[in-house]
Amino acid sequence: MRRHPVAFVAFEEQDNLGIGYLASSLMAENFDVRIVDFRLREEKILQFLLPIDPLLVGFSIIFQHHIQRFAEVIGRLRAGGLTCHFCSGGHYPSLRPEELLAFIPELDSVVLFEGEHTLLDLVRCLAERGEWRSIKGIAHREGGRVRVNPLRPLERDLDLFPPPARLPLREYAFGRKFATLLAGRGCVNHCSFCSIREFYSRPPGPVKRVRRPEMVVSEMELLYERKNCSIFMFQDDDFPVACDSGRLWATRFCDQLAKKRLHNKILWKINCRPDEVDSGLFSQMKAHGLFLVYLGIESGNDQGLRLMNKRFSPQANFAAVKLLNELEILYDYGFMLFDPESSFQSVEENLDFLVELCGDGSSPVTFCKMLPYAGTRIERMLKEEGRLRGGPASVDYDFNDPSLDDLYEWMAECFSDWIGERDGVLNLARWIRYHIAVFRRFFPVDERFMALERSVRSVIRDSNLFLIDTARSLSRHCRNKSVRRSPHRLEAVRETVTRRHHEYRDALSRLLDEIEDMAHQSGKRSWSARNGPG
Amino acid sequence: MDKEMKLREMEPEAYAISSPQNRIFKILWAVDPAILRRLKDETVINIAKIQLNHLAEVASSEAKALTEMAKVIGK
Repeated sequence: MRRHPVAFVAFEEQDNLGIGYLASSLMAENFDVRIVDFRLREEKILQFLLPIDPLLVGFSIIFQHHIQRFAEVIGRLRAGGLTCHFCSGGHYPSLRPEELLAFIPELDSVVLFEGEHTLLDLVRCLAERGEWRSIKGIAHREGGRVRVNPLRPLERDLDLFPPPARLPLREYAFGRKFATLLAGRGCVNHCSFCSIREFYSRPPGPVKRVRRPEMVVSEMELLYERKNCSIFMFQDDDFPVACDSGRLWATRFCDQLAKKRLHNKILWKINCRPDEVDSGLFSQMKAHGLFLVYLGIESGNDQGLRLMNKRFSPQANFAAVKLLNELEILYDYGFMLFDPESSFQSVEENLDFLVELCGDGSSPVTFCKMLPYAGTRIERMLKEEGRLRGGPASVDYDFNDPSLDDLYEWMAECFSDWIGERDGVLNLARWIRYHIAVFRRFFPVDERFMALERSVRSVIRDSNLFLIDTARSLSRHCRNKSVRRSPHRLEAVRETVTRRHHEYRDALSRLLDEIEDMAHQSGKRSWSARNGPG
Repeated sequence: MDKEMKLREMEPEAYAISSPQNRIFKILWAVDPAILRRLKDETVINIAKIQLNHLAEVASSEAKALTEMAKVIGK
């Protein structure tokens, strides 16, 4: 008897590793799996799904603010004639199944927390037309109420999961392909704004698990040998580098890379906390291909860091960045310029911090507002204070000082393209730095390249300082309560920002073209050197 | 190399993504919804998506035509 496929509707911006792991677990059991990008038009999604007559459609909700869009897509799929089982999974669905099932009535179930075992059970049960409602680890409706079944323990040995199924790998830079992967899952820290700890705390089992370094390197080796992949982006919540156990893990990982002779052929990126950056270990990791570290810097003042329960000081942030700069490892970072306890003073301290951190152009400035994600301490705090507003898809809060809401609105208004656009300064600046790192690894560096590198840094430095100066000026304007906020003033600032944004963006785009040309020329030269003239 | 480990790649007919995005992908963690809401209105997004879909379709039909041509030349 033909088995109906299992389909996922998922956000496929980079790789969706969560879906890759689920798909792989199902494929290992001979289920046919299909994936459709959540960003396609509803009709396209329907056209993709209807003819395959799926057994189940799983909706991967990574970001809570996507649920409105998911509700629209799911509603259209049901109305369009899909009658199969609809389930959802992800951080928000696992932490708030009752809320989600009420928000999207077309959903039949929620797969709670780590989904590999649970989804496989659910799919098997549906394929055999069994009674799925008693499956461990799901939530579903029963008699007008939501029933949450007992949770399934987290899998202790992550290496038992088959490596994630992947879409064909895409280019990172200069023809080099990239893949995302995991060394582990979970995080032992208790940051008040983050739902990861909560996600891994609720089911029985350890909040943080790591794979065997040998298995991670085997996966990388396969990707290198068979898929021509040379850039690896670790997406761990917190890469294992903390404490003695983390250092031991990372050292074994580096040893394995050397043993497999991969260390000088690849580049890799990790995410970690600033207080985990350590001179000896990071220097070793750099020698084995580490080129980029994404740091959870989050705030530049003590009050903000305390609220976030980061348990380190702004000095730890500076120390981490100084060390990475010395080791010539790139860094990107998350930064919440605005949080629920923000004041004009804390925002201006944060801006001063950003000048000191990256006023030299070592990384582009970024900022955002802390959001009260489901299940976090920040959400509870705001709820207790009566400040939480909006529905589940648009949950937000006002600042204690209403003038700060004006500042945030103005900043968002002026810098939305800069921060959020694909071709915005932030993305281009990050991207060109990645190109530089890849070039350094795979091509001979000459004076022209060094000059280009200096030009890139100079554009990033100028754009950083412009953004910070503009933010300071807006802050001064908004904190002055005697001055009425004028839309004309905002319009004037926005026009200036737009003009400067275009200038910086064009400069970065030109530099990006130039470095691609350099790589092209360099490739041609090495071909000529190998093959001789003519 | 671990012989037990098997890489699985989705076949082309098994997935549909919005655009190839070969060069530049958005840095997701830098964006919060308040900013996203202001990025572009729905109409502009839809027009962009339609254009991308159109480009993908054109590329796909061009590829098919080239394959056909190659077959003919081969014969």
